[in-house]
Amino acid sequence: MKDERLDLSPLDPVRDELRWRRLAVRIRERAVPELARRAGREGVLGMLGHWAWPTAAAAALVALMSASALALIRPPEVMAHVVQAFDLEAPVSVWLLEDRAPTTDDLALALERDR
Amino acid sequence: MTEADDVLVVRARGGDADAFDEIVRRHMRAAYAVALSVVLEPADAEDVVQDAFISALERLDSCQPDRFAAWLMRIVRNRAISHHRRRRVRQSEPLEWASGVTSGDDPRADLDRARLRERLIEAMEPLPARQREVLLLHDLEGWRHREIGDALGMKEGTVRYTLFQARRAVRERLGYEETRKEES
Repeated sequence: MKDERLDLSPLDPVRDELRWRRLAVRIRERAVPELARRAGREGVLGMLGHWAWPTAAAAALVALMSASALALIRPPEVMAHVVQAFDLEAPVSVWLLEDRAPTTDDLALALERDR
Repeated sequence: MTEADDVLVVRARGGDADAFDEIVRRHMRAAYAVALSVVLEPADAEDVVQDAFISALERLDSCQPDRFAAWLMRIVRNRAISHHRRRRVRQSEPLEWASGVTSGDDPRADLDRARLRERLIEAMEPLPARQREVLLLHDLEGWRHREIGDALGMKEGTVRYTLFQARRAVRERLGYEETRKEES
C-alpha cells in the first residue's frame, strides 16, 4: 500500500513570501477598528473596576471598624455617657442604665410624679 | 516562551494587537489550507482567510479559548463555502490560477509553478471537500492525524483512512494525466 506524503509544495502560499506578508498586513489593518473597540471597552470596564474596588474596600473597612467599636464599648458605659451628656433624670436615666424599656407601671408612675 | 492559544485569545479579547498578530501568524497557513480545500483558487482562499480572521475577532467572546483552532477552522470553512457558492453563481468570471501566487522575479518559474499548482488543484477537484481538507492540512501544513481529528471532529483512524483515499485519488488522477500526455 503506497501511502507516502504528496508533494504539495507548489500550493504552499508562503513560497511567495511578499504576497503572504501583504495578506497578514491586510488582516492586521482590517482588525484595527475591532481591536480598538475591544481595548476601549476593556478601558471603561477597567476604570469602573478601579473605582469599584477601592469604594468597596473603604465600605468594608468602615463596617469592620464600626462593628469593632461597638463590640469594644459595653452598652452600660455608653448609656452612662448618654445620661451624663443629656443630664437625664430618673426614671428615664434608670431605664437607660438598666438597659430596658419602661413598663406600663413605670410610665404611670412617671406621669403621676410629674403631676 | 511561546504563549498557548488560550492565553492569546484572552489577550486579544481585551484588544491586544500583539496577541492577535500572533494568532494570525500561527494559524494563517492552516486557515489558508482549509479555505483552499473548498474554493480551490489561491486568490479566493486569501480573501476567505482575511474575512475569516476578522469575523473570528468580532466573535471572539463566543470562542472556547482552549478550542480556538477548531473553532477558527469552522469559521474558515463556512466562509469558504459561502464564498464558493457566490463564485459559482458568477461563473462567467475566469479562474485566476496564474495570478494567484506569483513572485514577479522570474516569469518562467512563476509560470511553471502556476502549471504545477493548476495540475494539483485539478487532481484534487473531484475529491470530497473533507478529503481535500485532510490532505492539505496533513501534506501541506504538516498537521498530525490527531490535530486534524481534533480540528475537524474526526477520529484519528478516520483521518488516516481519509488521507489514504485522498492521496490515492490524487495520484491516480495525476498518473492518468501523465499517461494521456504521453499518448498524445
